[in-house]
Amino acid sequence: MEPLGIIFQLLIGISSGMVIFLMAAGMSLVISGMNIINFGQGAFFILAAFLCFSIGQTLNFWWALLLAPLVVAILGGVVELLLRPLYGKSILYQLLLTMGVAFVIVDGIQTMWGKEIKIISVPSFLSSTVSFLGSDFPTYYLFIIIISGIVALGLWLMFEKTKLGMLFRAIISNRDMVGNLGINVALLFTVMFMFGVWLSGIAGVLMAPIIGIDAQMAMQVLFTLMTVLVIGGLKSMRGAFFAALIVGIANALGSMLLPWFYALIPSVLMIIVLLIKPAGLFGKPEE
Amino acid sequence: MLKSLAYNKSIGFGIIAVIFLSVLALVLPTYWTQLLTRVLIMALFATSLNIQVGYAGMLPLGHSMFLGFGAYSFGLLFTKGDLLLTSAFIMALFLSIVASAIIGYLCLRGNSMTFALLHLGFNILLYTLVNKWISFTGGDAGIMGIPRPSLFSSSSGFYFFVLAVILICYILIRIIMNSPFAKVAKGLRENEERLCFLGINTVKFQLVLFMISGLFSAVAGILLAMLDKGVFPAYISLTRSAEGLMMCLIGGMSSFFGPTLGATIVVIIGIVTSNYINQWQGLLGIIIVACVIGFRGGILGRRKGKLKVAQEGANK
Repeated sequence: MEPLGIIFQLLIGISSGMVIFLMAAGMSLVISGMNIINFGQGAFFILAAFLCFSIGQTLNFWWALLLAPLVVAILGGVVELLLRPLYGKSILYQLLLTMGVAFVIVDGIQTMWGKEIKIISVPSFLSSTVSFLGSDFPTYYLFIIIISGIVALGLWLMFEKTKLGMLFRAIISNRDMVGNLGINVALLFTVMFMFGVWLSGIAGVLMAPIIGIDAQMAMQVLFTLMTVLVIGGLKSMRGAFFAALIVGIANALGSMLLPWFYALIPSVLMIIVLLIKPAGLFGKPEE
Repeated sequence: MLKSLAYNKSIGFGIIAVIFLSVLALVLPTYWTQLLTRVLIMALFATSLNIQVGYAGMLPLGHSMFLGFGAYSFGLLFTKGDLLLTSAFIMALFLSIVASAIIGYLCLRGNSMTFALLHLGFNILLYTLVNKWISFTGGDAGIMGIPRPSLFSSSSGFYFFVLAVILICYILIRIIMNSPFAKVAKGLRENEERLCFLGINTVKFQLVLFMISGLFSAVAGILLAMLDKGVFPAYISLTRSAEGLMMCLIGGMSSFFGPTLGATIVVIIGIVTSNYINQWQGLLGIIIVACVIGFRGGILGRRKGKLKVAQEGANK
């Protein structure tokens, strides 16, 4: 196996790992803050990709990158409003609701855009290649890494430096106390949920030009997210980051080295982690 | 005294239901007999799911994987393994128990949230496997040529076969769920922590319940394969899992016959609407959202008014 191919796959792996991290971060934020698993995350991802397809036809890719995640986030806000009567009830109802929403979105996409796979071309100024170590890499992968790196950095800064980030952290550590301080927890929940969905919208737009988009992909995306969350620990943002990179790179290298097996690599990793550390690599065990 | 009265009542109800169903099959045309067979099979699936959801308060979001596992292992054993119908049936059930033990063990390693995630994750994994491993499972086209037992090959004959199998399964589930063992299951639903303090190994109990529930849905899967004379990836899809949860929810999780009623309603809605629109998944999603928001007790649950599914998410 030539080293160049491996470096190339590594690049692809890191770029997809970064994108997975954006989604996993949103999902993990919602899990630790609101105690809800948003099964709609995969559906929102693919919806943003389809919006990117349509917006890209009328406007351009930059507008898509701006607008599609916003539209998706607003839809996420609506879902959170639907979830409101269910807080304090069994967790089953909340999970079922997000699952039902995912079904509606996937079927809605198939009705509006049709069932065939859509291809989005890489925006022209990014379709060039960059020469590196004597060979050419597509710029778009570097673009993905840079954009998602910026978003991830912004995420970290927001958490550490801003008021909103402080409130998020406060909600995660003690929800009742935040309420007692006179802060509108219900609104904060909506913002949190929308934020999580917005992140998967960004991920959807970024991935759209390099994958053929198909509504049924929502499920595979959701599965990848689950493996990442279980490997990293459900409520750990840091865990999500490392697990996303591990899964992304393992997938990319695996598709080259073990083509017949690579679809199973994340699940095998997940099972190994579960057997050794049930709470995930970075999760704290429940007491 | 009261308990035996209630027991007699449910036996009486069961006998009446069987007589009613038998008469229906003799009266109705073939199309409706087949529909009724499907209703019965899905009722067994929903009831097996309810062992986990309603009794133990677990969150099995991907239960169709056992329906599919049963059907696929039966189909593969019969077509590729050249086994006889009966031995394929028994082997498939055995494999399903083993599979549910392994998957259950892995799912139960974390807390209830991890359980829900992993359960759905394994479902997606099996679905992807079935779809992608075309040389083994036939991919999208599925496996064709699953026969029915030769004695019961006509559609009304098969109906009575299904009725008998399901009657046996219901009686078994009923016996298991009325045993002291199931008291622990109910305790799991109400307060898992307290059971731990009593020195009960809750994970072991959940695992046994998981396996029982997996076994009965494998039976449902095999019957479904015989009904459709083939095995298809749709058996193992997430939509099917959600359908099962929907049946429990509509019918009422706190009662034994709730899921059966729910199955009747969901299957009939599915068949009837499939004549007009091609968006069953979306429609199911809308029904789920509507029911979860406005109709959580279910039809039979509201009457009894004692629905208490796991509250752990709320209490934390």
